[in-house]
Amino acid sequence: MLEDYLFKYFGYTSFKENQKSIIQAVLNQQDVFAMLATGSGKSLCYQLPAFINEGLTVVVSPLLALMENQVQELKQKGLKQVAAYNSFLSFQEKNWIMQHLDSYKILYISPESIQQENVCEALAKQQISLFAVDEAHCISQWGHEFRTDYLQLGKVRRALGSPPCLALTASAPPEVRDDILYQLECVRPVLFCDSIDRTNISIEAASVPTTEEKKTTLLNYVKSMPMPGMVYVSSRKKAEQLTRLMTDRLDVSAFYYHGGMTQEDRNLIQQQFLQGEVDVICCTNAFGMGINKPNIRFVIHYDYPKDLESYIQEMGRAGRDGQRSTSIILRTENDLFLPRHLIEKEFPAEEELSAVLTWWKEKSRQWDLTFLIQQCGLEEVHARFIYYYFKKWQETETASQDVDIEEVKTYLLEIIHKRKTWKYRKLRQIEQWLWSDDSCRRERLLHAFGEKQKQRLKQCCDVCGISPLRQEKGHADQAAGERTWQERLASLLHP
Amino acid sequence: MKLTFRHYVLLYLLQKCNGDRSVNAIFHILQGKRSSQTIQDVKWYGVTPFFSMLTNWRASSFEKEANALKGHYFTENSRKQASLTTKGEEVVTAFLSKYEWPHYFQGFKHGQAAPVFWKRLALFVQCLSFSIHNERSFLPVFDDVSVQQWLKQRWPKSKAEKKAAASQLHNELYNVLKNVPQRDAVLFTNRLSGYQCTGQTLHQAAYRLHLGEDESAFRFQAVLHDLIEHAKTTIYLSQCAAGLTQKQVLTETARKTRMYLMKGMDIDQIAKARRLKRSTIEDHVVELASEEPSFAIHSYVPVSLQSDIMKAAETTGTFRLKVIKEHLEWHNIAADYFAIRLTLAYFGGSHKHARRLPV
Repeated sequence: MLEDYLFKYFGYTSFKENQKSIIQAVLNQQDVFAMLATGSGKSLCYQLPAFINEGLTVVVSPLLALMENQVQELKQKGLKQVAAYNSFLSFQEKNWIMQHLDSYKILYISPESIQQENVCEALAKQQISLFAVDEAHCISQWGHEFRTDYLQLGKVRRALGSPPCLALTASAPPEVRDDILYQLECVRPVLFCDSIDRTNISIEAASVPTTEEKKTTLLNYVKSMPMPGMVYVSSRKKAEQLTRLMTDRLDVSAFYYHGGMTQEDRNLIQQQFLQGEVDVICCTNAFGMGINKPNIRFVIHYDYPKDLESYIQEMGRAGRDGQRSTSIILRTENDLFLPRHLIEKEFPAEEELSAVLTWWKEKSRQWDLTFLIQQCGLEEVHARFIYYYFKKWQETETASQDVDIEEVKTYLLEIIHKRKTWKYRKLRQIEQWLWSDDSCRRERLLHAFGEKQKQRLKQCCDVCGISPLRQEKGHADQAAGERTWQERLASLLHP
Repeated sequence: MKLTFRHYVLLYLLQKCNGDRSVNAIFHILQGKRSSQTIQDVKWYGVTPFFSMLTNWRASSFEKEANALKGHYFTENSRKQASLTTKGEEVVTAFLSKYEWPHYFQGFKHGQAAPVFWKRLALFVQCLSFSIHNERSFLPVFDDVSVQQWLKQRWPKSKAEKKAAASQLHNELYNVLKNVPQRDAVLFTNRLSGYQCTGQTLHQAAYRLHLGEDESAFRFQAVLHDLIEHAKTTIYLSQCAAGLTQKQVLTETARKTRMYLMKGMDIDQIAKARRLKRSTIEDHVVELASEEPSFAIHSYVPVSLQSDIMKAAETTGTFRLKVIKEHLEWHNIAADYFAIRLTLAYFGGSHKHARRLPV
């Protein structure tokens, strides 16, 4: 019985909703695609098969912190035959793992690492029982966290003898799902999809006449709402400014979080939020992945996200405990410029392309990321983009040994054009959804993901009408900061 | 112009440098640039504690703010050298008369060790704290593999050992913190993370104490320097500092030059062998003169010339090479810049107190 294994390895007595069917499909050697809400036990879907099966399960995971967490959790459960392989390990540590592959049941690995020749070769000598890809939406050219390294995973899988594949994600609309399955070269895959509908989260779009008034609107919402909550903004600077505004004007403890902070500071803020020492996190989309805080009551989008997938992910951080929560998006007419600007900034400009290619050819340099980033001074995203698609161009039939710069440029520009067009389409989709008030907002959201609403909700959306979520109890306990340093030191180190 | 902490520090250092140096030289001191020039500057002008004091000061804003100070007549330039105006002297004096410096800070000695020391200490405290409260799941403050490895090697095995370690570490911290200004102790302990109390970011801690960010960063560093200084007589603080304090002062390239010198090559030969300019090798030798306890200065500068140079420096009251050289020429003594730099570096460097002028 599958439950016996579950108890033996993990100490649980029963599966959650879809888990059992997914695991059965995996054990039957089928290719599986599973879209599961965060917190619904995604990782068990490959962890349990890994310990039941002969051989090694490879888990491709995009986020270092996620890998480390999972390895730590498994080890705490006494399941020690696991390791995380990534570029941050020392040379010796990497070697050790590669030489002891047969002693592991699960190997977490980053998409960058698994493409290294020596790694791929070492893995190919092992019996790979399962090829799992976490956060699989990153694979898709049309996914919202597109990473070029991910596009090679189909090839890698083949090199490992095409073991059965499990693709996991929290959100992927149909076209992204199809792209994932195509990229991973899945054969007759079995699909499992949770509904993206979060019935305990009400959805609200709030019109604000001017950008300046957004601030007042934000303060009014935060003032009246139960804590804790999150505010998503589009820039680091704004995150800091709005934090100051909330701290000065309201009796809440707020703090910002963005990718420009040191790792230490980010960890501290995250931990403070998890511990309930901070009421409101004001953050860019750098915050979120892998964070599981059950009692978030509200998510306010001060700026709306760039597509509906991001929206679903970000608003979905509210109400994991099933209690009533709310998602609010502020909208003003002036908002149209910024997201467009951000899309433009994601891609290298035409002059930049010409300059880089010309320079590269003149100096006959090695075509690698170091050249692009350090010599040409490209932003990392731009460098990765150019690097990857240049390589891809070299694989096309028309490419000759003597690189014609104009030809490469045309090729790259075409791709940029295609991807921009797609991004603008996604942006218009969320804008249409956001600005149209003529039918149920939730229903239209579900429709975009190919779903239908199953039940009418009491607290549905601003179009259907909702009663506001009100604050019941007080805010985070700030008294902790009032202790003397002697007391604080003692409480840390005395049991 | 509203002067902030960083402005006072800049003005103060200009004052200490006697109008001999440019504002950029001060920037390098505050950034802790490990070049032979900057290392000698902090020694000659007796400002070693200030080395790497304000590393967060960006070059772009430094230039702007230094210009603003000049524009508001706090400083003036003669060629590249900057000095204080009377107005500048006044505000520095006023600042110094009321500013309570930290109990101890020594950027040159401990500035390099402090960041890693903090990572080790903070992680150690956090892990001990959660562990003695029987809580195993938490987010480590630092993800660095090297720091985590460091901790793994010393992690106490049994429950009793952990409790003993926590208590010992508590006492070690307590003994240093009880002697620093109370606000600094608060700043420091508020940044530590552990069971049921998460550390504050520097920004948060500064806000709570109504301190500016530069000043809080500085005072936080100062507590770290103090802890490192006291580590010798402790068990766990000394483990946190182990291997960090004995860092080579010499730049790597100067060490290479030293190796060639020990093989018996002279400066020109080394320059040729290393395909570097003679002046670069001279820089290295000056660095060696400043840092090497056994540096044989007499093989470069005769003893009598050494004493002439030092006397000239004393009489003219400056360390500016040009002034010293002209003074010597006035007295019909020929000395090249290299000899002057070597001598100043030698007697101004780590030998300052250990040796006397051979008069």
